Amino acid sequence: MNAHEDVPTLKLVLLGESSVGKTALVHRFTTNKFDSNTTNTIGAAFITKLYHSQLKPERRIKFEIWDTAGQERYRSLTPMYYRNAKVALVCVDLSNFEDSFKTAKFWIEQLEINNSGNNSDNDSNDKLIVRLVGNKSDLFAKLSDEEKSDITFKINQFTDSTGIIYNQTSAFDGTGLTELFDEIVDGIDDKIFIEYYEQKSKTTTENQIGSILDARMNGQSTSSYTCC
Amino acid sequence: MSGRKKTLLKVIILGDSGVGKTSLMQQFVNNKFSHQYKATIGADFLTKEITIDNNKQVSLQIWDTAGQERFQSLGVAFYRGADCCVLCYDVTNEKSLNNLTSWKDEFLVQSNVTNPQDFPFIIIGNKIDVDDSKKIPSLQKKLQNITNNQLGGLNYPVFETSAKEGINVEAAFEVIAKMALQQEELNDANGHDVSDDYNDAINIHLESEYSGCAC
Amino acid sequence: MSTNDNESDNSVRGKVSSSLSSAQIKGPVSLTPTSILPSSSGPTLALNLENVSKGVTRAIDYTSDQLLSSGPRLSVVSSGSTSDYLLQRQISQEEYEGLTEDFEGDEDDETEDHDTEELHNIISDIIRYERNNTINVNSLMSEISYLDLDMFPNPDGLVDEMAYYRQHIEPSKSDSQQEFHYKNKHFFIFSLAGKPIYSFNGSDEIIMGYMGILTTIISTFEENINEEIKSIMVGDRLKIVALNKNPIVLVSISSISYELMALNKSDLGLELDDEIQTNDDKEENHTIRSKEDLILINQLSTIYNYLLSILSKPVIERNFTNRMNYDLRRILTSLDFQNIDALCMRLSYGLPITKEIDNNLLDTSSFGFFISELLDSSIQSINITNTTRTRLNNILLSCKKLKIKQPEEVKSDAISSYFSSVTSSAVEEKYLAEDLLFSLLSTSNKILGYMKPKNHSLSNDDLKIVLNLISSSSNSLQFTEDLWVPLCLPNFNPNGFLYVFVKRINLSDYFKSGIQVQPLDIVLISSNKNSFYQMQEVSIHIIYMIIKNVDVLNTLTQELISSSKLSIYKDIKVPTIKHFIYKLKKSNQFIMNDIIHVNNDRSMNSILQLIYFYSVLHNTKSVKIRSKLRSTYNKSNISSTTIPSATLSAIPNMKLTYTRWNFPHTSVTGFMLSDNDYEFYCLCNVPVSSKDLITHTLKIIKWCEKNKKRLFFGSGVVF
Repeated sequence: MNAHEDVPTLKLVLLGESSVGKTALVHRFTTNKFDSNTTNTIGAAFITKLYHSQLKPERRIKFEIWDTAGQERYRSLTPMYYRNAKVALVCVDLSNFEDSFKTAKFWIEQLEINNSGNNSDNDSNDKLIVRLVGNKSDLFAKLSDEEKSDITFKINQFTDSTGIIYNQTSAFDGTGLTELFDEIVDGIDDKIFIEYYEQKSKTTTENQIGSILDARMNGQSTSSYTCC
Repeated sequence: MSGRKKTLLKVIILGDSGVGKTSLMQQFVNNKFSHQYKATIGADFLTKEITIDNNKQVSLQIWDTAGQERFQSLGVAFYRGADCCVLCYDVTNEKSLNNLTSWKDEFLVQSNVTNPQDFPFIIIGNKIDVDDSKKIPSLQKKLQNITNNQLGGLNYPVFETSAKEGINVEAAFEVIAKMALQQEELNDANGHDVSDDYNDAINIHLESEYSGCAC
Repeated sequence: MSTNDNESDNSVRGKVSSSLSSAQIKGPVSLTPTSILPSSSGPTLALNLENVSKGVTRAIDYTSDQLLSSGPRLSVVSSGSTSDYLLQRQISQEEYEGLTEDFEGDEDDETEDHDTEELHNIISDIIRYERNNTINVNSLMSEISYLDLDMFPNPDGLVDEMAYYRQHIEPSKSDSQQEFHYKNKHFFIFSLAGKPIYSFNGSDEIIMGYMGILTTIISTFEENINEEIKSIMVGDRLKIVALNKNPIVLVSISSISYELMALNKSDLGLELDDEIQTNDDKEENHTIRSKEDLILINQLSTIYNYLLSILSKPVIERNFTNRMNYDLRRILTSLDFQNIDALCMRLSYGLPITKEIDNNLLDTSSFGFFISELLDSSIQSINITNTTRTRLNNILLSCKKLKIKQPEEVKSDAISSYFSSVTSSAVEEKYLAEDLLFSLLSTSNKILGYMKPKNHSLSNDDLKIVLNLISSSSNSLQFTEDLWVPLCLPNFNPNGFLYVFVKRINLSDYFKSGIQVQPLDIVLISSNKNSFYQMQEVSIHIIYMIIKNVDVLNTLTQELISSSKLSIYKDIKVPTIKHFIYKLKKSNQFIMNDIIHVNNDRSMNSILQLIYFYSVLHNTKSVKIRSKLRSTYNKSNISSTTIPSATLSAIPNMKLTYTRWNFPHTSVTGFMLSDNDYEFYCLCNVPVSSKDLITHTLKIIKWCEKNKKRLFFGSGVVF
C-alpha cells in the first residue's frame, strides 16, 4: 500500500465514550484484525488508510482517521480533532448502552453546535456528516430480546428525530464495517473527485512526498540558513 | 454523561460510647450481631456496596469511631472529606440523646465542611428492641425538642433501629447513601469538575534564533 | 498469615488507636510500640568486612545461625566497611604480593601510568584480602534460581519460579485476603480523606480498610505530633513508607530485601554516604530522609510524577479545593491504572506486566527502567558512533529551520482538507516547527538523539515520563499510528501541558532483505495543542532525511542492530565480566550491555537475579580508597603540583564495593568502582581472580571514557 498515493483525502473522527471499541474498530478497518488486548488510547491517534468502495472501485480515498480517547479529561482537546473533519463516527457500545448513549448524545450536540457555526458559504461539503455507530453487535446478539428491542427502540427514536444515520458494527468479527465505510465513500459528492483530479492535472506532479520535501529543503538552503 | 460506574462515599458514624455504633455497622455489613460488647479502639473501617434507585451503585466506606472521650483527638483525620455523617444515640440512654448536638458540632468543627447547613446528617436511635420500660421516658418529645430546635437544631431524618434484630438498619443506610449522593451530584452541578484543563497553556519564552548554529 | 477477625467475613477491619504508644493494627501488619522505631536488630544481608576480619570462625557461626536456619543456599561476602584496620592495610600494603607483575597491558590500552598501576595494587589488595574469607554453602539446586537468593520472603518455601511469581509478585486485584497478604509489595494511593485512588493489589473491599488505617496514622502524626510520618518498620522484614503530597498520599509497603537492606547498613552504625545529602536536596521538606527510605520514596515520587503528568498539579488541586471528599478516580481511566500497575512492576522488580510472562522473551526496557531508578534517575543511552549521533542530532536541528509556504487564507489545518495541493498566489513563509520545543529519537527506551532549546531543558525525571509514555503505548504504535498526547512534565512545569507527538518507524521496511532492526521512535514535544499537523510534517521530514541518504540509513541500521551487543566485547577482551553498567555522573546517563538470556523461559529469572545483585552492590556501603596517589586518577587536567596534598587524595573520591555470592557450582562476583566522574558496576558469573577482575574493570572503564561520545547523548543539540 502506498500511503502517498495521490487520491483525495477524507478526514474522519471517532468519538464516544471510553471502551466502546473505537480503537478496535479502527484496527479492524485498517488491518482487518481484532486485538483483544487493545488498551485505551492515550490522547489521540492518527491513522491513514487507502480505501475504495466495492461498488465504485474508481473512488479511491485516503482516510485520515482520528481515534480519540474517550476519557472525559481529554474533552477540551477534542474540537481540534473534529475541526475540518468530514465524517464523525459517534460510537456507542451496544453491550453497555445507557452510559455510552448518553455520551454519544453529548458529542452529537457538540458537533451540531460546531456545524451550525460553520455555515459561512453554504457549501454542504464543508458540513460534517455525523453517523451513529453501534459497536459490539456480536455481544448485542447475546442480549435478551427485551433488552435488544429496548435499545433498538431508543436508537430508532433518536435517529428518527435527528435524521442521523445509524450503522451497526462489530470490530470483533468485522460485521458491518465494509458497509459503513462503503456508505461513507459512496456518499461523497462526485464533484469532489472531479474537482480534485482537475486541480491535480493543473499543478505539477509533486506526487512523491520526497520531491516535495526535496523542494522544501532546497528552498530552505537558499534562505539565510547556513550551518557547518 | 460520564461512564463512572460506582460512587464512593465516606460515611462517619458518631455517638456516645456504647450506643451500638459497631453493632449497627456489623449488622449492616455482615448481617451479624454479637452480644458481647467490645469497645472500639480508635476506629474501625468497613466497606459495603449497595445499589440505590435501581441502578446507582454506591460503595460505602464506613468509618466507625470510638465513642470514648480519649479518642476524640482522632478528629480531623477521620472527619476530613466525609460525605455524610450518622449521629447515633441509645434509646435507653438519655445522655447519649442529649449529646447528639455536641457530636454534630464536633464534626462540623473538625471536618471543616464548606456548607455546614447542607451537609447530610442522619440520626439513628438504636436498641429499640429493648423493653419499653427501659426506654427514655417520653422519648419522642425529647427527640422532637432536639430536632426541631430552631437554633442549631438537628433537623435531620431520624431512624429507630435495632442492630440486634436488624430492624431498620438497611433502610437507614440506604437513606444515608441517597442523601450523600444527592449532595455529591449537587457539587458536580456546581461545575467543580474538570473542564478546560488542557487549556492551561504553558507560556514559553524561547530566545528563538532559528538561524543560530549549534556547532 | 495471621487469622483474621472472624466477624469480618466480607470486609477488612483495622483498628487504629489515637495513642501512638499503643498503636495496634489488625490486619496484615501488627504495630507494636517498639516497631515504630527502626528495628535495631535483624539479620544483615551482607556480612561486612569488619565481621569477617575478626575471624573466619565468627563469620561462619554467624552464617550458620542467621542464614542457614532460614534455609538460604548462598553466602555473601562484602566489603561494606571502612574499618580503620582495612585502611591501614591499604596504605601500608604490608602483605602486598605484587599481583600487578602479571598485569598485561591490552592492545588498545594506553600506556599504564604509575597511578593506575598503584590503584590496581590497592584494589587487588582489598579484594584478595577478602577472597580468603569466602564461605561456601551447600545447595540443592544446580542452577541458580532467584528463589535461592535472599530477595523475597517465601513463607511457603516455594521452589517453582512461576508459582512464586504468581503467588507473591504478580499484582492481583482479587477479593481474597490471603492472596493480598502473600504479595511482596504493595502500593496505595489515596486522598487525605482516606478515599482510595489506586492499589497495586487487592479489590476495593480489601483495600478500603487499609487506606482508612493509613490515613489515620498519617494524619494523626501530622496533627498530634506535628511531624510528617515517613516510614514505619514492622519487625525487620516489612516497611511502610509514605509520601504525603496533599491532597494525595502515596504509600508503599515492602518486604523485598533489596529495598530494605540499606536499613541494615545503618543499623551497623556506619556513616551514611555523601550522596545522601544530594538526594535529600530533592525533597521539599527540611526533614532529612534517611537513605534507607530513599529507594521506596523515590518509587513513590515516580508514581506521583505519573499522576502529575496526566493530570497536572492545578487539576488535582482544583478538584480537591473545598471538596476534600473528591474521588480522584473519577478522572482516571483504566489505562491509567494499567500504566501505574506497569510502573509499580518496573520499579519493584524490573519486570513488565505480561499475560504470559513465561512464554515471552521479556521486554528488557523494564529492566533498564529499574536500573535507571536505582542509579538516581540516570537515563539509559545507546552505543552508536559519534558520526551517526551527530547526523541524527543535525537532522533534528534542521527541523527547526524548515519553512513552509502557506497560502494566507488557509489555516494550519489545510493539509487535512479534501485537497492537499491547494495553490494560491499569496504565500507567507513560516517556520514549520515554530512550536517544537524538544525532539527525541529513541529506540527501546534508549535515547539516540536529543534536541532542546537554548534556555530550557528536560530533567531526567521528565525524560523518564516521556520514555514511559512511549513504552506504555507501544501496543498501539505497532499499528503505525501517530500519537498526539497532552502531557504535563512536572519538573519542566507542573502547571501546564505540553503536547507530545510520537511516531514509530521500522527501518527494516526500507530494506529488501529481511533485516530485523528495533523500531525507531520519533518524539516531538510541542507547546501548542493545535500543532499536530506541523509535527506530523516534521516527522515526515525526519524520516525522509534518514532514508534519503543510503549511507545514513545503512550505518544507522547497522549500528542499531549491533548496539545491543556493546562493541566493547569486540574491541577488548573482558571474558570474566558478564554484565556491566557504566554511569557518567556529569550527564547522569548510563549504558549497559543487554541481558544474556540462558533461554527464553528463564528470562524472568535472569532479570530478577540481576536486579538483586545490582541492588545489593549499589546499596552496600562502599569502601573509600585513600591512597598515596601523587596525581589524580584520570584527571590529567589537574596538575599535581598546584594542589596541596591534603586535597589530592580527596579529589578522585574513589570508592569500591566488592560482593561475592558463592553457590555450590559457581559464584557470582559483584564489583563497583566509582570516582567523581563515573560509577561502574559489573557482575561476573564465573569464579574470577581479583587480578582479572580489576584488569578487566579498568579496561572497560578506560574504553568507556575513550568512547564517551559514542556512548552518551550528552546534553543534546541546542537550537
